[in-house]
Amino acid sequence: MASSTLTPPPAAARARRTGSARPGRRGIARWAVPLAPAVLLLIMFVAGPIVWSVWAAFTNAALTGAAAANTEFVGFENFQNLLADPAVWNATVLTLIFLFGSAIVGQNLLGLALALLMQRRNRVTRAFVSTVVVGAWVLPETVTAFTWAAFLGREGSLNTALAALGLPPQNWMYAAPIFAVILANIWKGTAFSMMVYSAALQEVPPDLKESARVDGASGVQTLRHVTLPLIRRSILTNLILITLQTLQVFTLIYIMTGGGPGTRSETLPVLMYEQAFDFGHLGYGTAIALVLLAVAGLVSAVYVRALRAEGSV
Amino acid sequence: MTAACRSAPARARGWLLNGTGLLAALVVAFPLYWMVLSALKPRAALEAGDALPYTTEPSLDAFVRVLSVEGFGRYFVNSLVVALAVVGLSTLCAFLAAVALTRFRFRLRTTLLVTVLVAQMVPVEALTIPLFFLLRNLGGAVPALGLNHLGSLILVHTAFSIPFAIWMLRGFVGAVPQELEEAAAIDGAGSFRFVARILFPLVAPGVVACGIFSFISTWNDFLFAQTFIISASENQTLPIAVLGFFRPDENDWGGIMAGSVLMTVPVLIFFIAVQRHLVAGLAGAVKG
Repeated sequence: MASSTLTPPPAAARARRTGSARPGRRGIARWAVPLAPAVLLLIMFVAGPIVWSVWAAFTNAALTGAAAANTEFVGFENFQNLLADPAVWNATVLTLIFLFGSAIVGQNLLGLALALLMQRRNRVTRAFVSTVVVGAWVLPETVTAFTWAAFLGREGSLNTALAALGLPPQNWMYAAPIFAVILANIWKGTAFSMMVYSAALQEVPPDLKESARVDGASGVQTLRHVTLPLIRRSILTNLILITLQTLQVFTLIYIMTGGGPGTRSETLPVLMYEQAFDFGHLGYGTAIALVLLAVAGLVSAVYVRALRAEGSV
Repeated sequence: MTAACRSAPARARGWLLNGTGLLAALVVAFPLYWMVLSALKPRAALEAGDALPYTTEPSLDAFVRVLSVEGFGRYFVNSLVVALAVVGLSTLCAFLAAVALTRFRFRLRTTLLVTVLVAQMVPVEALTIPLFFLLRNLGGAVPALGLNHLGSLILVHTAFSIPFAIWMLRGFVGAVPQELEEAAAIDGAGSFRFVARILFPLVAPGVVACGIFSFISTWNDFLFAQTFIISASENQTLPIAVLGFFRPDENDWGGIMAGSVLMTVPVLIFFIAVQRHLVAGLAGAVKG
């Protein structure tokens, strides 16, 4: 990394200012050709679908029936329906609960706690803990969902443990569906926050903490007044990235509860999928997707601004 | 003397913290242990609600049941084909793009970098509906790339793996000193030879980490497989096959867990092989 920050030779610096290392047609081909496959794929499968979503959200596009053959422009109708639809409000609230519970509180705090705990521990402990936690993260989402469904189900291990304490067994995916999926998502996703914070904590100079301790600060005070302010950039980055990841969680919820019972764990991605592919209301489903895309776009705009302000891009 | 007095509580505290860490890891590992255990328990025991945390008579019946389901091997191969194709294609595209974005200065460069960063954050799940239409139309022109074909999954996952891979490889390519290219040019190596013979081997750790990352995200995918492979069951992938054991009220837990174990093994092998690269690369990518 250090070598790339070396002062460039004068010729290169001059070329940089004019905007192109080697002017002329051959110069363009030199960077345009290797970029082409990646850019084409991104235009086709990311940019194109986003533009299409904006269009389709204003139509009555449907999977079957008359509207499928003859899609019409319906203006803001989908969005008006969206605002008037109690299912959408329900899904929005559940999405926020899911986001808050599993990402902002659960993964974030637990990840920070694990990273702090693993600081300066011996190598064996660190290796073991990080392998297990990150292992949970790379597991297929379907497997996570099956495992937690087994764990929280009526005959699951949680109930066995509760029975041993004399508490009545219940199917936790019926009794408290949103908490069941929050728990599973915390378990799955904490590794990401832990990795971000572990990397950040390595950059905190030990002498700063040492001098705080010499001045008589307790562990908690050092954490609050020295460590946390120093890693606040990573905290922001982490919160943004896990928010983006959590907003789109679909598989975990779809398999564990299917959004149910009723609509008690139906978050926006699940509602979108159900509207579009189970009921065939593609225009309506796309309008929901567009809301998700807009929220994600807003969050990532904040992130990109923060990065650019630091000159990382 | 005083040093010894101070270090005794410090050591106790160290043990306590180590112990807490290990305990946390065990709690996290418990569901995984339960998965393997349930896969090995005899079916009768599972159905009788046997909740013992061990089994005295492990059996491979559940694995036999899963493997003998019609087409399970085929689903496994399908998953593998898709994941490996995505690894190859996305890494190649991303490597070329990363080289272009770090080795050349041109006017669009910063715009492209920001675009890549934003593309990496697009919630891809929200694009399922337009992608469905895109692939249906594409299938009209090139059937092998349309709905119900593995090509559709390969294309979509390749596209979605590229932004993160570019972002990650950018750091690795940028770390290779410019002087090396100049030295190679003096020795008579052209750009292509420099990239293929010198640059590529130097960034190989990054390439491997990227490949693993694409492999895991493709192998784990459920939503796209479920949405794009509708009627051609011979082209389904593993997650959908295992879902077949998951029925309300009459779940075959042994089968589900055995299938889950089989689905997890390739991911874990790859993951453990490159864990350090993955974590380091990810931290680098996150820090920008």
